[in-house]
Amino acid sequence: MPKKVLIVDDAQFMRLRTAKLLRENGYEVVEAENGEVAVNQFEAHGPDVVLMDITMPIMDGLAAVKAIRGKHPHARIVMCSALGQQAVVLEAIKAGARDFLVKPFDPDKILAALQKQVS
Amino acid sequence: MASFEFSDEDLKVFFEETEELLQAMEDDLIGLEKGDEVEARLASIFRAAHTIKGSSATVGFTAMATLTHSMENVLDRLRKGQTNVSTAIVNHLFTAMDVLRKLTADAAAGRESNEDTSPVLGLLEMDLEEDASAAPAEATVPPAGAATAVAVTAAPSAEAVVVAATPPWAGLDLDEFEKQALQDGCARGDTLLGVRVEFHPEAAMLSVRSYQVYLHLEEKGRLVATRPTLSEMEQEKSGAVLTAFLFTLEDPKVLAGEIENIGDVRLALVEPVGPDGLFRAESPVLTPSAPAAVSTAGTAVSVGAATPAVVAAPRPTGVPAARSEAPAARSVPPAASAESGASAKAGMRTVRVDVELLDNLMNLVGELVIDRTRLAQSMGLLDKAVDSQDSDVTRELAEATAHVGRITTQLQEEIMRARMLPVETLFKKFPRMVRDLAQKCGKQVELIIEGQDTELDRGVIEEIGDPIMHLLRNSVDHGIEPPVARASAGKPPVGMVRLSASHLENHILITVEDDGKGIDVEGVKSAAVRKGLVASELAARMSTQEALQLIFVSGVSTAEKVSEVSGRGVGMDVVRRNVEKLNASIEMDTTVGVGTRITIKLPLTLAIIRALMVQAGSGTYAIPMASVVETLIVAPEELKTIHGAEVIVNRGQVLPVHRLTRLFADTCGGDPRALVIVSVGGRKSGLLVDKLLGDQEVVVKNLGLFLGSIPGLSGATILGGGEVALIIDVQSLLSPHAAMTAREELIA
Repeated sequence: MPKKVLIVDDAQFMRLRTAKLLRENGYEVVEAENGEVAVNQFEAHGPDVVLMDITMPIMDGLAAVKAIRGKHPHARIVMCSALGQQAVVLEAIKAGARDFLVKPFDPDKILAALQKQVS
Repeated sequence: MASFEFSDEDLKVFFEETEELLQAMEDDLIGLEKGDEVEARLASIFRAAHTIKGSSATVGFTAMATLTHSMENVLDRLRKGQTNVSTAIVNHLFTAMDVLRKLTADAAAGRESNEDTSPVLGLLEMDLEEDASAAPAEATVPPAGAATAVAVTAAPSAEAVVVAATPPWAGLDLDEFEKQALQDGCARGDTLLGVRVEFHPEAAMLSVRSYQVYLHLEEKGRLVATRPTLSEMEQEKSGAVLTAFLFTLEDPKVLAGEIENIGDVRLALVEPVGPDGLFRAESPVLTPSAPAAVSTAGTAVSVGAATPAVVAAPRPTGVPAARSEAPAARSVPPAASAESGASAKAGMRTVRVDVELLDNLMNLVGELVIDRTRLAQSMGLLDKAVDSQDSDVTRELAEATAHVGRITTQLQEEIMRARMLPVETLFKKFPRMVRDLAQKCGKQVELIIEGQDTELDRGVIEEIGDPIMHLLRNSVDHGIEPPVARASAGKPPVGMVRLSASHLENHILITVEDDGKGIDVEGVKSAAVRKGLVASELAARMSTQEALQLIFVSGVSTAEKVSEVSGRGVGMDVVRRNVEKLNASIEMDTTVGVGTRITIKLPLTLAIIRALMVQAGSGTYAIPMASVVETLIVAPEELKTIHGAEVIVNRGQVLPVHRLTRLFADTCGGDPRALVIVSVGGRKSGLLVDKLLGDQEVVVKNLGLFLGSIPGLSGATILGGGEVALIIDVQSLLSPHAAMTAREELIA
């Protein structure tokens, strides 16, 4: 069974990039363009890992982590952050996110972080 | 560091998305300046800058990333209320956005950008420095994204080695509470583990990493003390090393392995210690695999023999490849392609299509429309020619023909729909323009935009932009009065300019309206007389509508002085030319002191028009239905001649009559019996032709480069029978000039 990853990012470009990378490496990919869609997608697809952007319209990543973890305490969420968002990432970790990545993303690091979550 | 490879398709998405974000940013900046939903707008601008930063850094457009980072810093301060939204800051952000646009354009064109970002970075830096005393920590964030990571890192690896050589937890500065907890625990006989974690020196967000370690330790036992403390982590004061004491029954080696699995951990040492924070004599035996690990790490060697430490799979910075490649290789499932295909299907309902492809489709469907007409005509002939006994075949063929005809119509409609874009794509650039213009003119203007969802053919949208821009300019520069003048006229100081789009049958109406001072019709007349465009007696007799048409004549401007913005009297001329090119009409309505409204009536598409087909002399012509008022069959005696010009009395009005053959110098003669009444700028004229052939949809084809633009003709079309008909451009054929001359003669 391929592992399923939910990519949450409001930047279509980033989703496209990450999705391509993950598919090439054998993951199944589901996408969401904001936190609210992510919560719905999580319910619909039950992904193994969520890659969660932080700054997004409608519902940001932190709120989405809280919403998802509130219902699914075992959800594995990796925050996708930028430098300078340490405080938010810390909040997200407190809310149950498992790990984080810092942009600009290094493909190796994304894959390593995902591998860590699914193994 | 490995990098992504980007295909042209990927980059296209990046550029399109960036363009969208910049547009959203612009809209929000304008709203922000108005003080309208400030918080939401700041958040939205921040998000846009943030997204561009992330994407551009990923692609490697460093200048864009640096600039957006700087913007983000300023926006963050605005968001937190540490700085107030001032015109200066908004202007700086606008400038930054413009520079970003140029950088994007250069990058999209694949050329090295010579755009210098340092002036605008300086401006943004200045914004940050204001009120710096209020929040010094925030203001000192360096603009370069990558540099921050290094700055955060406290301990370079060399230093870490030295520290690791002495038992790290021995010198830990514990407070009384912590010391007490340690002693109490040890007195009960609990196992105390000392933990030392070293992070990669270049790792980002060490406070989060420290917190992850903290969380893990807390889960595994009773955590007595950590350095940094939890509150230091929360204040983002973590360094590259974390030390901790923990009462637990966990195996130190296993625990070290777990900690090592947290991101960016370079080294994790876990071993039992005494209550004084020193190692206990009965330390666990070093596992056989560990020595090798220790030697590769090179950092914990001095701890080695004397104080056996558990060193879990150290990850020296130099060799990350083995680790990161392995998971990728391992995780390839056999059914990868099928799975990803299915999920891709769920996610995508739209595709991006090249405009050229749409244009080609439209052309092809145009050919089909011609063939449809041809088929129908041939069917008619066949029907007459074939005997009734073959009627089965004919009927079959007729049905097929009719079906093909219907499908062609549907196809044409669908493709036309695919070519439609909301006018928003065009309108969105105006708020910024009006804002800049108003600032330059020292006026206060609110631009209201309505009907943004109205859809128009993209060809029309491309052409109508300039005319609308001219009209808006005129409204702001000439229409809207300065605030003081408005106040004394009893109007609100902020002028209103309304730009709206709406549907009206097969047309789109675009209206530019202002509540300014209106157009002084007498002023227009005298300006035209002064420029020698109209005789003064004629001017005196002109109706308001006629006089307003003079505005569209090149060289007429009532502005007292030429400003930077407009007033040279060329704008409206351009407006008329562009509007005419689109087969559109323009109407003007003005009241002195109250305002002006200009309406452009546009066809839905440029590619296919409904036209009245007529025969005149040796040619077949198509007259766009948009300008046809009515058709008459005339007897020769109904035509009168006044001063050498032919006229006809129609519904009590004297209308000038033009023979189409004469206008196109067709010497074939012909037998003119039909009159097509057309309307140009609200003025009617008659076009005398031989025969009316009926109305049909014609596909407009350009006359091509050889012929170029011919006054009176807007293109050609191919008819069902294969012959070519010329499409008449009524407006340029009977321009107000020509009509006026006719009228002048008439009156004289």
